[in-house]
Formats: sequence, structure tokens, C-alpha cells
Amino acid sequence: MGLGRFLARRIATFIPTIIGVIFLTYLIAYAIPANPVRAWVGGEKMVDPKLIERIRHEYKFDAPWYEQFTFLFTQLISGQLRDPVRGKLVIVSLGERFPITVELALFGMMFLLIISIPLGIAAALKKDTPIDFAVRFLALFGSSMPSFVLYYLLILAFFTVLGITYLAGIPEPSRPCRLFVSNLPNVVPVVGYLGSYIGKIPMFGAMMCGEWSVVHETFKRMWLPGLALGLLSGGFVARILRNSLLDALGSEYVLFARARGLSKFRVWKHALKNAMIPVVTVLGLQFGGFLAGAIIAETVFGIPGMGRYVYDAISRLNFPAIIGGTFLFAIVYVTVNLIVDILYAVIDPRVRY
Amino acid sequence: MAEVIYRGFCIIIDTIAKLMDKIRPGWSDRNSSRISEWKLMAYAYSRSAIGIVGGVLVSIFVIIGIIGPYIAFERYNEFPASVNPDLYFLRPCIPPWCDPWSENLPLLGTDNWGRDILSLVLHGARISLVISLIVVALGVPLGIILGLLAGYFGGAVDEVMMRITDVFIAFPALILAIAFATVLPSRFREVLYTNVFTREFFLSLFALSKEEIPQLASLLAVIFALVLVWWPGYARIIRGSVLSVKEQAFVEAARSLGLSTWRVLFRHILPNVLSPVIVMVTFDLGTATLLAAALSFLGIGPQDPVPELGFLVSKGREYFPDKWWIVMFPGIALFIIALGWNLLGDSLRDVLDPKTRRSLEFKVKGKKQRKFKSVKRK
Repeated sequence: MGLGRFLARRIATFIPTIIGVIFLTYLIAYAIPANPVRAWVGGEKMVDPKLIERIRHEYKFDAPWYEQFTFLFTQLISGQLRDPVRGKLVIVSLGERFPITVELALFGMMFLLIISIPLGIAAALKKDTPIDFAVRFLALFGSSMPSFVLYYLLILAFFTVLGITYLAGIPEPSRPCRLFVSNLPNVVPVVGYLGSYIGKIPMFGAMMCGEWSVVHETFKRMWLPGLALGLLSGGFVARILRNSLLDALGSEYVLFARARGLSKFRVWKHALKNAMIPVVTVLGLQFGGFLAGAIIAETVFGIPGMGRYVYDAISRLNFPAIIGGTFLFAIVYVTVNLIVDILYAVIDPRVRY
Repeated sequence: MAEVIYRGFCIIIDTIAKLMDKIRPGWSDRNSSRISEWKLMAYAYSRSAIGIVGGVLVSIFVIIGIIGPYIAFERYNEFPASVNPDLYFLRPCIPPWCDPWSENLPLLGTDNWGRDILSLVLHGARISLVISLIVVALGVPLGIILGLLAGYFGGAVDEVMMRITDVFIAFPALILAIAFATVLPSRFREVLYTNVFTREFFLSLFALSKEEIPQLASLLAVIFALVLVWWPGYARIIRGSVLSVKEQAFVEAARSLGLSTWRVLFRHILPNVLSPVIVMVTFDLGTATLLAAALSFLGIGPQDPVPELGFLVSKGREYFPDKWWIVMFPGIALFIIALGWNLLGDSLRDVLDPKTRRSLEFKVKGKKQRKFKSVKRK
């Protein structure tokens, strides 16, 4: 199957998935709760019946199911779902917070790479030595440790005892800088749009204006959450790199390269290139996982991102916000997976399914 | 040590063989190769250190899960601080600073209501055990059956089922579980208030008292949400292996003998796709425990005073980091539980994989000429 057909098929399955996601969201919002409106306005407490009537009408609870579904569908697609607690559109609040979550995930990714790539290579080079054993232990540790407990341990060590980080707020670029970034599309035609989107992530925005103190502050604030995310999955990724590197080193082309008398370094370069293919996929999936797992990290580290928004919505039983957040999480996750799949097909010509 | 464990397993296997012989005479003769394979597995397991550590941790956890609520010094719903005004100013405390004259010294400290953390953790182990067991016992068979059907029948059935699976996989597991677990309790509460038998059954399963019916509904919601999150992974894996197994000759033979579809599916295909599932289940028992704890940490599961381990951690947040023990001890308990399952799964992967097992057999046979057959032929 050619790359074009693969892409066409992969994107064709993307659309029914999105419709299915919306249907599942509909079930969660309308069909499953015993008395949705009561739940929406705050559980079992006494509420003015008039208010309940109004909400019933506004969110189409008195309509048949297909009308409810189309209502939710159009609201989610056009981003008109309104958060009754804040009175803002859910999409607006999520849009403000999404860049911060991306920033957190990027920091997690950075630490994941720092931890896993050298460890994986070292473990493959020195098979069955203490380094290999340590990598195995780290993988086991990461999959057994409840994430929130690890976060508290790190806070205890680095914030309480050593005091080399802080845990409040997110450093943001100054107001003129933010205006400059949002004005970019008017200055530069095409690249500007991209730039303004990337610039919404606080650190990159600050970089664009050259506010290096903000970048420095961001590093000081975000390195601990990033390290926590990286520690949790670092061992796992290192294990995968180790195994695929050992596979590659045992293959025939490496033997052939050795027989041709290539230097050790050149042989390694060949093997590493091929061994990285499965690792790239795993790293992509991990990035999606970081975005989704951010809900716990953001709660513990006090980062005002998308996960924190959903967490607040849960504690206030703010259903439209929960539904909007769930939907956006799913869209982001599906899109990341789609990109990973396409990347995988592009970098490895052997994979076309 | 390893030899003792191996002997123990051999005795168990021989007993099973003898029992089967009594039920169906000649069973052990017909299955002698299977018995020797089991013994080889027992041998491989007894020689893996991580497997033994994992097995010990898991057995301790299971035993505590069963008897924990009864050996706990205090019930979870007794609040010493509200009864004894002297304690009020000491809560939360840890031994050197706790009331040194109290009858039962709280070894791991107390929480904000003066409850003994050790007792809470003992009870929490039961809750975690029940949650993980139910989630796996419901989610895995569901996934296996759907995967079998999709893989075996193919065509439209396959396409529809895989699209549904895609939708469930499209959500990050934690987020989907959160969404379900927030909306489900109201339904479960209705059921629990009307259905006496269900209520009593689950209350005794979690060792909770009658006042906790709303919390029980949230617990059931967490379980149900996790089941809904759990099945798609298994459906996908089973479907994949069924696709390759169903083309093999023995399936063709079974079909040409005129066996019914169900018999072919469950007697001939299922046993051949099951071995990766056993390993996955072991890992997932740990993962389910952690995910359930994460949900209650976020405040979706049971609320006060139910001592779910994740919820205990989230309550300790207010007092962290000065009163670190409220967060740390339940957290360490969770870590040990998950570590036990993961270690066990890690060694089972080697033990159940015929390739590594064979290599071990050759290694052993070269050295000692050990015989794995000990059931005598009549």
C-alpha cells in the first residue's frame, strides 16, 4: 500500500472516531445521569424549580434524544458550549489554558529525552551490568509509583527541604510582548499565524520578544513538574530503546557493516538510526499521555492548565465544563496519535498497513 | 529457598493430578506432557528472584485485603478526636508527638480526625483489592469475548467493533474514567437504595457500614468507569492474535469436523490466544489499583470517611508537607501493591513464554539432567 493510500485510510477512520467521541460524550452528558439537570445545578441540594426548568429548556433536556445529540454536536463543533459557573464559553477558558499544559508536556518531554536516551543506549552497550539493572529498576519504579505520591515526594525534597524551586503561578511574558505576539499575523502573512499560535505558550512567547528573564523564571518553575513526568516514564522508554537497539545490533546489516570494516562508531550510527523508529512512536504516544496525565500533575504542582480546569469543574460538578474538557482532551489525544501514526509510516518505509 | 518453593509447587501439581485422576481415571496419563510443562513453569518461577519477591508482596497484599478490616485496631468511622478532647489538639500526629499514654499507640501516626493511619491503610487495602479484582474480572472477559467475535467473524462485525473500540481508545483512559465516574453515581444510588441484596453484598465486600451508601455508589461508579476503560485494549490484542490463529490448520480441522462455532471459538482458538493475556492481567491488576487511586485522589471516588488509599492521600494534601505521614504511608502502600503485581507480571512473562522456558530447560538438562515428570505411569 502506498503512503498516499495509507494516509487516506488513516484519515478516513479519523472522522467516524470523532463522531463516535461526540456520541460517547452525549451519553455521558445526557443519557447516563439519572437526573442530569439536578446534577448540573449541584447534586441533591434544594434548588429553585424555575431555575431547573430554565436549564432544562436551555440545554434541551426536554427534547427527544436526536435533538439533544445534534444540539450537543453543533455546540461542541462550533465551540458554543457555555460554562454556567464562570459564564464564559468553555472553549475560551480551555484555549487560555491549553498552551500552559503544552508547556508542561514539553518540559516533561525534555526530561524524558534527557533521562531515557542516554540510559537506554548505556543499558544496551553494557548489557547485564548494574546500568542495565538500574534501567530495569527505573522502569519498574515508574510503572509502580502512584504519580501523585512521586510528585509529593519531589516537592518534599526540592521545595520543602532544599527550597530550590517555587510552586505558584506561571511566569508570563509582559503585556506588550503578548500584544506583539498576537499581532504577528498582521505583520508577517503566513508564518505569523504559526508564530502567534506557538507564541501563546508563555515561554516561547517570551523567547520571541527576547524577555530572557521570563524564560529563566519558567525553567525555575517548571523543571520539577517536568522532571516528575520524565521520571515516571523514563525507565519505560529507556527499556524500549535498549531492546530495539539490541535487536538492531544483532541483525545482519550490522554484521555486514562490521565485516566491511566500518569503524565501531559508524556501525553504531547505523544501528541507532533503525532502533530509534519504535522509540519515536513511543515518545509521541508519551506526549499524548503527558497532555492527558497533566490533570494530576497540574493539580499537585498548582499549574493553571487544562487538566486543572477539568479538576475544578469536577469538584464543582460543572458538567458543561467537564464535557467540553473531556471532548477537547479526546480530540487532542486522537490528533497526536494520528500524527504519530503518520510519522511512523513516513520514517519507516517498511510499515504500510 | 528456591528448591523449597519448587517442591511446594510440585506437591500442589501432583495433588491436582491425583484429584483429576479420581474424577476422570487416566487423566494424568493422557496429560503427562502438560504436567511436566507445569513443573517446568514452577521450576522457572522458583528460580526467578523478582518473581518470588513479587509473589510474596502480592500474597501479603491479598491476605491483608481479606482480613485487613477485621484486624484493624479501630473502625474507619470512629473519630477519636471528636470523642476525646485531649486528642483534639494532637491531631494529626506521629508517635513521638502523639499521646504517649494512649492504649494503642498509632504506629504510623494519625490523620486530622485522630484516626490511626495503619488501621485506615489496612482497610484501604481491602477496598483497593476488591476494586482491582472486579475491574479485571469484568473488563478482561468483556474485551476477550468482543475481540474473539471481531477477529473470528471479520467483515462488518469486525469493522463495527473496531470502530467502537477506536472511540473508546480515543479518550485518554484517565479522562474517560473521570467522565463516567462523575455521572454514574446517581444511577447506582438509585439501585442501591432499592435493591437490598446488592446493597448488602457490596457493603460486606468493601466492609463498609450502612451509612456509607452514597460513598458505595461512588465506589461502584469508579469500578464501572474503569471496566468501560479497560476492555478495548484486550479486545484489540485478542482480535490481532485471533486473526493469525484462525488461519492455522487445527482450526480448519476443528471446523471440518463439524464442531459448532462456539466450540471452535472457546475450546480451540481461545486457549491459543490466552497466554499473553495472563501476563497482561497481572500487570493490569496493579495499574487498575493505581488508576482507581488516582480517581479518588481527584475527588471522584468515595468521600469521607471511606479510607480509599488515593483519597487518604488527597486528604493529606492540606497538611502536606508538615504532616507528611498522611500522604506518605497510604502512598507507600499503593506503591508496594503495584510493585508486587508488576514484579509478578515481569517474571510470569518469562515463565509463560515457551521460548525462554525452553532455553531454561536445556540449560538445566545440560547441567543436572533434572526430570520434570514425576507422575508414575500405571
